Amino acid sequence: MDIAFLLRILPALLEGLEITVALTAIALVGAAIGGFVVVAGRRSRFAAVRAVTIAYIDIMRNTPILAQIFILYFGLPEIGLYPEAFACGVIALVLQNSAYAGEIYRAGIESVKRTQTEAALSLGMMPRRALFDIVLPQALRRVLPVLGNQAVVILKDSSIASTISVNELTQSGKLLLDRSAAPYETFFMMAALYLAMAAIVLGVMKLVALRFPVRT
Amino acid sequence: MKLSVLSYMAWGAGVTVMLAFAVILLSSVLGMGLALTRLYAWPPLRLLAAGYALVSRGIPLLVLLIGCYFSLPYLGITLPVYAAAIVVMGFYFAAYMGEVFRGAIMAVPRTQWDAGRSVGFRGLQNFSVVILPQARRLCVAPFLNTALSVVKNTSLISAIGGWELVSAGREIGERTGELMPTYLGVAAGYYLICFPLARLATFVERNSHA
Repeated sequence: MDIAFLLRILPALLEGLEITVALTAIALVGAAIGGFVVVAGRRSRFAAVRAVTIAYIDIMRNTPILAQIFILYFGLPEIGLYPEAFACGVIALVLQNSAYAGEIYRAGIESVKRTQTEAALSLGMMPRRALFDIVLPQALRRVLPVLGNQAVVILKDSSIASTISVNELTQSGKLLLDRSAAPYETFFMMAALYLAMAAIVLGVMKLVALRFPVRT
Repeated sequence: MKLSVLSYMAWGAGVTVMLAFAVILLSSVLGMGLALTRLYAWPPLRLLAAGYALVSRGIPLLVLLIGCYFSLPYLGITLPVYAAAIVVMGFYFAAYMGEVFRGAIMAVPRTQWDAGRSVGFRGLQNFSVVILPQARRLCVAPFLNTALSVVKNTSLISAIGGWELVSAGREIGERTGELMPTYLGVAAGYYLICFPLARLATFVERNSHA
């Protein structure tokens, strides 16, 4: 292991890291919001909306993100749309993880006892207010750990954007691997950077969980 | 879509299924070892197993695949790409399988151990006769979900040059110039493989709450 070499490649990897962070952060926010759309559709009072949402979740759960990225990046130009590689990565990550986030929210909402809603309604709250002020705060607190794991999944899946040559961490590592004859050092550094980011994501989620504890 | 195109895709899907099967097998065996180590081994070993799970769950599979693909030749090891991919994915998913098994074993109530002891089972016998059959039933749904994740992630093998469903799609797309329908076809292929697994998982989940 050549320490001087590790330090020499670090700047190149950090440039990639920046893009990984951007990709992950945007996808994270997008999926967190998209999840609410999915759960709203899944619990809609219209059967047609429910059916479409279930189909959407089904398709996202059962197809790899690599196929989705390729459809966006290589397929869309055929119908006259030319999205940038970075945008394709973000869209694919958001599409896939919105479905997962939606199901996580739903599990949380369904874990809150019906009596909570009934109690809120009996106090004269409107159904909407009961949902937003009584049910959702309890539901979200309960699923925080699962959401944290999903955030790490987004971070890890952002590496797949390298297949359409987005210059994120994995891609810059791959270029270094190609050029240098020092595969372990580069590989070790990439892995360490991903681990550090995963630790930060999980650490932040732990802090959030401490700030919003589950009350029983 | 022509018949020859469809049969080429089907061949790719077959390779994907075989790769996934090999990975599921390897990761289940390793995962069981990890779970047992974490639960019952000498404490320092437990810590080591926990560390392994943490590390392999924090690094993207693609990075591991690319890293090993580039590094192994330098170690003087030239594995065929499929073998390398199966080994890397096996070790990667062992961490997930380990969590599945560990969760299932821990979900069996402690009183079952006591009950086993009270009718004369001891140690390993108690574990294999009383605990394991119950844990096995509990782990089916999460196991299937992990297996589904394995199937989807075998698509990354195409990134290190292993030929499977995505590669088949890429070749067809490049030859016919019709990338959109081809990649939609690839996605449909994965859907056809994964849908039964997902359905089975939901079915088991719904029927296991006795």
